[in-house]
Amino acid sequence: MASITIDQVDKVYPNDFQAIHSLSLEIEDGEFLVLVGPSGCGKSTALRMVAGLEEITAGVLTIGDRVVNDVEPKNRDIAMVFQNYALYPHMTVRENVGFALKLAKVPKKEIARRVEEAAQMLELMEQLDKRPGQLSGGQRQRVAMGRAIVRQPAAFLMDEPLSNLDAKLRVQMRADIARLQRQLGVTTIYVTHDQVEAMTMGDRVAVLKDGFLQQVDTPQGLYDRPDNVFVAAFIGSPSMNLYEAEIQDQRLQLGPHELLLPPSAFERRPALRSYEGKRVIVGVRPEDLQDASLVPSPTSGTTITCAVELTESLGSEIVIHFVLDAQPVDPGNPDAADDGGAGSAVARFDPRSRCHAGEEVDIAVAVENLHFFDLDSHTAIWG
Amino acid sequence: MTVASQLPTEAPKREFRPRRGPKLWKIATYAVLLVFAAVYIGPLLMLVLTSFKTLPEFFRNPTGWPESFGFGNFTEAWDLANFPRYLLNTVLYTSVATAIFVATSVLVAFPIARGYFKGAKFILTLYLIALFLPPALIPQFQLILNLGLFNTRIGYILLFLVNPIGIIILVNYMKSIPKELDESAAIDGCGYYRFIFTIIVPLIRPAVATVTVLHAIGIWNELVLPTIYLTNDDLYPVTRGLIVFEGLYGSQWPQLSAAVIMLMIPMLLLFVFLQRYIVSGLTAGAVKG
Repeated sequence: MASITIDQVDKVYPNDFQAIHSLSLEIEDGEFLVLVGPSGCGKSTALRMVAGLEEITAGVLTIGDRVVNDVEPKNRDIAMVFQNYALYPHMTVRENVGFALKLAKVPKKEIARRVEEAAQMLELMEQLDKRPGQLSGGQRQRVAMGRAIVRQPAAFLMDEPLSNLDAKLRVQMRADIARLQRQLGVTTIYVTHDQVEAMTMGDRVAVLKDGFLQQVDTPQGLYDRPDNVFVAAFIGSPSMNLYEAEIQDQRLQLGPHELLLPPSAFERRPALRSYEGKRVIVGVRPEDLQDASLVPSPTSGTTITCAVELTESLGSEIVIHFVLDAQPVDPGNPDAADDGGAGSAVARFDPRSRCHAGEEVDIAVAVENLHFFDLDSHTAIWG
Repeated sequence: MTVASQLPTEAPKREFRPRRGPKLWKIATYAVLLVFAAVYIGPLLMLVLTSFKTLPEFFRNPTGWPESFGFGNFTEAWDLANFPRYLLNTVLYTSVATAIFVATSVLVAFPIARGYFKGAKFILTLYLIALFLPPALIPQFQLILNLGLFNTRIGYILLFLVNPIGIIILVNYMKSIPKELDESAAIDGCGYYRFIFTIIVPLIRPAVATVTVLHAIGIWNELVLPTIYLTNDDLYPVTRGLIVFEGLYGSQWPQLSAAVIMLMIPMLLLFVFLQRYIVSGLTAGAVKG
């Protein structure tokens, strides 16, 4: 087990495309770090550089105390789990799991012991003599995990290992992998484009976009204090509503709506005072919007009236799509082009709400939870 | 009511084909297939029948049934064509050249299939172009002569170490193997040659079987090259030995037929043995999976 340090690492391809820009990350011993971002953000490239499958153009990569920039993948003491599992189809599960040990000339008895130990941990005992073709997707995924585990590596690298599974199995495997990682205490870098996976599995989450690291923090930290508009929109589902607005006299002019900002909003963000009279980007999470009729005593100046376009009842909540007549902001997520649509905002109402599509509804805004971003730089306005 | 009135008008529409159509069509199809079958099987049958006839009997009745089924022609042909010695030569040439060809081709095809070096596509195109070029007999002859390999076993085997169609089949099949296997093996610590021969080769067995059979049959049945490159009769393959049956005034057809049948058998066995792989090898790439 070891820590991993990525220090100012660049990746430039022969065609001059720069996939990674000066990436710096420190992954502590035993930590579970998730790299997340939309497609093409460089997260897989970053992982493959740690694995040694891609060369590092500039910067320093350290695993444990060793600089491994020019070390062969097999000598980096890492194990990787691939999206399509990369099992050898002509070998049995037992052979697949034990293959790396066999190559490392581990004694046969020891191989058998470690393979069975891993199989027990992953509930694969009965599949040991089957070939990958005879297994279900979930079982194959576990074999791929088993192959990583038996090597007892310094670090696990996982490249979207759950994306080939159906939704239900994914939820189960998500928990299984997270539990296994904690049990084994092996440093893990996990790549995914799914922010739910990122939030639920990682000790910390690193958000990438276009090869630039946007923010690294605990899942809750990212959710509560996003550094910029992209992270704010990327983390959370449904994603944060982002609109242009203007601050005037401690009031927020959001299109035709006017919201009264509480003093706490300015206390938490001293820099916000300098935006008096200027336009900013305001972000509001769907759960910070509630059916005003269900709020016991709504503060005056925190309610807006909007037309409901669509309601989606999920049982535990109702997702409301409504028209907010203000200038929406594009957070720059290439994967979310069809998310909601311009002008459409999303709220998560209590299931007791009785609002219907086509009607107007009074929405209470939790103004103390609003997020503010600079209009030009898209960075968060804090201290 | 509307539904009921529509039913009778729609039903005949579906069975529009004339009643006798299918039967006639079937008969015509079978007739054509029978003609094809006759064209294919006829000569083979004639070969087998001829091998049991005496020469006068063959001239009297070339296509008919033999008077008796004796193996005299086979034993005579076995000795006359010097089978014991020449068969050994043929087996040697075929097995050595095929083994070297298949092993080297796999090593050549893999980096081309993966594009692991610059110009991989260009090299593949060259192999493709080579398919359409006529055999370079004279330069090749000069080369072997100048290398001092004329009339030697090594020189003769050298002629069969390259086969563009084999490379192309292997490359196309290898493309269906996910690249992650290479990467996974690299992380597992599997060396290049070990990876090729213990991971890749088992996965491309159909392609290897196809290439093996195609190549082996080509060498086994070769007549022109041994005639050109081998003059020492100790080095002849069986095909060259069969020339004894070609006389100045006429050929020993029955013995020749017997010899040809004996020559065919090993390749037929090889084909039968590898057949289950070959079918999927030839269609690989058309449909993935």
